[in-house]
Amino acid sequence: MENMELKREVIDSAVEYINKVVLGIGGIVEDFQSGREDKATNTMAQLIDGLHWLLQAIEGTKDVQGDNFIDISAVNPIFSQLTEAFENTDYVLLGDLLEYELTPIMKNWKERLTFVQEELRNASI
Amino acid sequence: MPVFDKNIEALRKRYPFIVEEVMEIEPDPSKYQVETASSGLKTLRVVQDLQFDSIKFYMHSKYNPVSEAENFAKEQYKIETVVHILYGFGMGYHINEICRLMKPESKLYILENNINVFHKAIEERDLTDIFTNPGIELIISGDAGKIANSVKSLINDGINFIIHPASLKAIPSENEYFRFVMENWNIKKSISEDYLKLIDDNLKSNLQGVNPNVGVFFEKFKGIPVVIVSTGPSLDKNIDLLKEVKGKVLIFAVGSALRPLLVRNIVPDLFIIIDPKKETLNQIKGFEDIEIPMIYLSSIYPGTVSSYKGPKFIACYEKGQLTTGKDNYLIDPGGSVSTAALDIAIKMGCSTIILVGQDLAFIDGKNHAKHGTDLDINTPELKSMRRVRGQNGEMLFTTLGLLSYKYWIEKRIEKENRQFINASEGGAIINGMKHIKLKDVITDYLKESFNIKQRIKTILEESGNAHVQE
Repeated sequence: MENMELKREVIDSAVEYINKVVLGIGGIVEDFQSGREDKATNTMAQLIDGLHWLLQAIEGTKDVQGDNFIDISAVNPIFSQLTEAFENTDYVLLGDLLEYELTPIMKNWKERLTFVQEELRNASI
Repeated sequence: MPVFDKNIEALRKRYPFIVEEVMEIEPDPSKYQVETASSGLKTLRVVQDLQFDSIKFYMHSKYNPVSEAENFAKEQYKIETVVHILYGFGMGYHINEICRLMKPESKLYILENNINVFHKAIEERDLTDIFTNPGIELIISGDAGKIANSVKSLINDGINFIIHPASLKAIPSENEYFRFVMENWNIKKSISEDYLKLIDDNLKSNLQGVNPNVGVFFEKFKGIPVVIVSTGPSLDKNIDLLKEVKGKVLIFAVGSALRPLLVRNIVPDLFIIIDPKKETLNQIKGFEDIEIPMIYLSSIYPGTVSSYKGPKFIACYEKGQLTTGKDNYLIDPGGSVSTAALDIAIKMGCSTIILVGQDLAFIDGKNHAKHGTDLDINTPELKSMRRVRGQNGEMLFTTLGLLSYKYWIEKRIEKENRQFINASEGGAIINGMKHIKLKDVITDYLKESFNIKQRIKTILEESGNAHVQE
């Protein structure tokens, strides 16, 4: 039961956090596109740490996700492209991948996590 | 009429010399790859060869280049400024967006050094609007010197300089110095206001002090060699040899070299600190009483000045900072502590100037010698980092900052008639210097002994500095 409570808390934090991720990605994309590469690459480092936590949170709560199960492997090909773009200092591609590939997935995950959050809330009533 | 011909026709009217250059080349399709973006528009991917591998990057978004260009123009173009200089033509999307923001009196100079990129742009997009726009002037050439000459006359205080970052990367590698100048310009523009305020506050406090000016050392060391000790990673290899040189050479340490030297009981003759940040306090921590002269730049953290108990000399870099009115006391810091030390050593009249630990590059993933910084001395080496040719012909990883110091040093010593020796065992080649191992420098160049202590003592007495070295 305690474990369930913990997972509920993790889901709550993940929902809150994924909102920040979506906003954060938007800011980074804007910085890359408007020529502020230094600022964008600095914020990228924070985003990577945040995403790492998010993936762990999602993985650790997969048994309570039910129909809204999130397959985190969906981001693997994007991550490898992001890494390659970063190595090439291809900030145009980096911005593209964040905006057009990663953002839709994050938005989808956000919806799923919100459903899971609601289901867990209802179950606890 | 094909778009290329249409563009060439428009271009020829105002820029026949650019047409000439364009017609001379045919871009290699494996290095300049045109792709169609999801929006149906064309983008360009550039493959650039490095020494052992290559990097590839897009000039514009492969999804929506117009929306990207809108963001760029909105952020970079200052409507209230009349004259703008833009580096980077790319495929011209960002220029189309800037044109929308221009007023009738606005003037936009566009620089581009990669004729291949420009060639691709005029093959793929109708750019006649840009070529015929009376507010726009193109300065496009594969010859970086030509661009530099044209730009010189344009640079005034009122202009806004814009860099299209992807175009900067596409500057051909043979024009590395030109790329550096463009990039450096961009960085200077982005110095934060916080940093400027920090410098301003430090100046206010330090200029109230009563310490004598470093100018009292100038011309007092004629005929005496100096070794400037910096803390690049190679210092670990030859620092112990400095035990043998005491009294044969003036040992001039940068602040971060104090600890590595003093833990080996090598006491330098003087040292210098220039960084405005509080962290410089750590460089003298535990050594506040060493009683050797400290030279400090007028903009350093004032707490470091007050903590040091030995004799102190201020170095000023702008006329307004001088209280004596002696313009010849000014120094040119050159951006780093070791470049400032070099400028001062030259002004002190030293006959032979020897550098150690001046790597200007990372060696085996290290950025500093042991004890040379409070921060991590390991730097992960990434493919995307800048490179510089090493003393053994190898390519070493470096940073834009370190590269700027290398160029500064090379320019600074160009017209100085004396010996410059880079005795750093590793690191970048410094043009204009002899590269000799410290062991051999000691045998071949440091044969005489000097009473350096006495010379410094006399200077301290004459300058009225209360602390007299015994």
